[in-house]
Amino acid sequence: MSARLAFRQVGRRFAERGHDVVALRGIDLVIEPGSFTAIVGPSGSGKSTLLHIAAGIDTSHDGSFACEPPDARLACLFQQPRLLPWKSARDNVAFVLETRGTARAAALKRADSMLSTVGLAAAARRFPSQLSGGMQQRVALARALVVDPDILLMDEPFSALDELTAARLREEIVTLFAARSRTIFLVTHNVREACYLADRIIVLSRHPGSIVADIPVDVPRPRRPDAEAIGALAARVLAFIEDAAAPTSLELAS
Amino acid sequence: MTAVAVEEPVVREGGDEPAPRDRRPFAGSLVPAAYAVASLILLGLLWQGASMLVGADVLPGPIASFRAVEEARADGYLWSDIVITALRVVGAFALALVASVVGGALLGWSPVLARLFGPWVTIAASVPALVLIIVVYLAVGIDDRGAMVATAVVVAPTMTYGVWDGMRAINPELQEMARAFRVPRFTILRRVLLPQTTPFVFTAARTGLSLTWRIMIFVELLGRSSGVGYRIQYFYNLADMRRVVAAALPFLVLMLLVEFCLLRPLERWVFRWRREETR
Repeated sequence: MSARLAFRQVGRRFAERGHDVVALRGIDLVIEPGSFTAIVGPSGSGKSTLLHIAAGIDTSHDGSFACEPPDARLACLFQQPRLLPWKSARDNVAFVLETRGTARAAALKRADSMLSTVGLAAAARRFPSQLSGGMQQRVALARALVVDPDILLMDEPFSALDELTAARLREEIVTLFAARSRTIFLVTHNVREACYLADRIIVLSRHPGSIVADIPVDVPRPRRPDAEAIGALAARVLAFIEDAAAPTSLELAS
Repeated sequence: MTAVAVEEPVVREGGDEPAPRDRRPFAGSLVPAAYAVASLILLGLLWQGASMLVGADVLPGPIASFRAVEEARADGYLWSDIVITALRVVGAFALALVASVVGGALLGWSPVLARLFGPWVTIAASVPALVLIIVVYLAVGIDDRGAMVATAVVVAPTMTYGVWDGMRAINPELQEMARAFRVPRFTILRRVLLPQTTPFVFTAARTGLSLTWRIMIFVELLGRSSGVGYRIQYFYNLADMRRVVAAALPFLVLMLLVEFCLLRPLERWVFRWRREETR
């Protein structure tokens, strides 16, 4: 099973020092089942807000958001690993299974097998504080994968990592996407990463965030991160982002 | 905090690795023990020195004091004093703990309550203990119940601060993560939010317990005719300073044993995941 995400006229305002700041306005976006979509845009374009709405963390938005089917399994990978510091790596991974009703012994078994998939079998019993940043993020990836998600939401998952670790984790995401049909939704400020991984790139403008470009990625898989086609596409996407980030006439006037 | 037992090496990879551990043999056990013994000996010498300086009538030295403890035991009131005071301390501590956990949790949970009643905690912590004790004694009655309530009222504000701090330390990102993974609400409370506050509640309880017993001695001195505080007052009136010190000493030792042999090892085990960060 794979799931579809539909945003209809989604907007989001935040109250900041007494007045409203519009983070998102009029977002109409349908993410088809089994697609890999990347959201890029300048900072302040509401990329993460859009992902929080998709994750069900942010429910105070205008318009409507729907996940079809509603019981689709959802997993998240954040910029920070967000592991529970008092639980070992395997307990962190097993935690999300246990809260879904899996018996503890079975949950631990699956957690261990998922940790060895991401190359962390030896570190299964360590606490997050005993692991490096890259290893913690791999535990977070194992936690996301262990629920066998229909939808995987990723919020700049590799931006806090060194380039080598990030490249390795990107490969794991590509393998995962190829393994079975899943809907993947990636927020990133790394344009090349978006072009390498995704089928479709959505560019958001800032203040307020709204869709300014919807670009299909026609590069056949398997792809190479350093392929020329990827570089050319990245340059095109970057041009859209630079336009979107340019100060508006209103801002120039003030 | 002192060093802990040597453990397995940390698995490392990538650039931002945690610092390597101290792997010297015995680094974890022998050296701290030696320091503890040295510290005790120095304290004993200081005590003896002070006693010689101000006179043994005013401050009896350690050997004289322990002899007086033995006399108190022979007189038969030593254990009954300790048991009575210990029961009152446990009762007062339980009251203060419940009040501060409920109060601190409410203050941390609701910004409105925090604005309205947060300053009350500061005010309550600033009122002289003596005033609180007298008011409670008169309101509740000069009995064991009054003694426990009075002590709890003095101790609770400080503990409430600790619990409140714990609520403020809750990381909303972990809650977001749990919600994204569709963890049920009550499970989030129990398995994501509460564990984040426990280190603070534990610290608040530990400092609260040591404050409780010191205040309880005072409360007993003011209004009870039994227990360690009463005994101190009795011998003070007789100007028998050896027996005054001898009354306080066994209970002090008991509280230190609870601290060093029970609370600290328990804390170290429960919060073993924090070691890397606290070092």
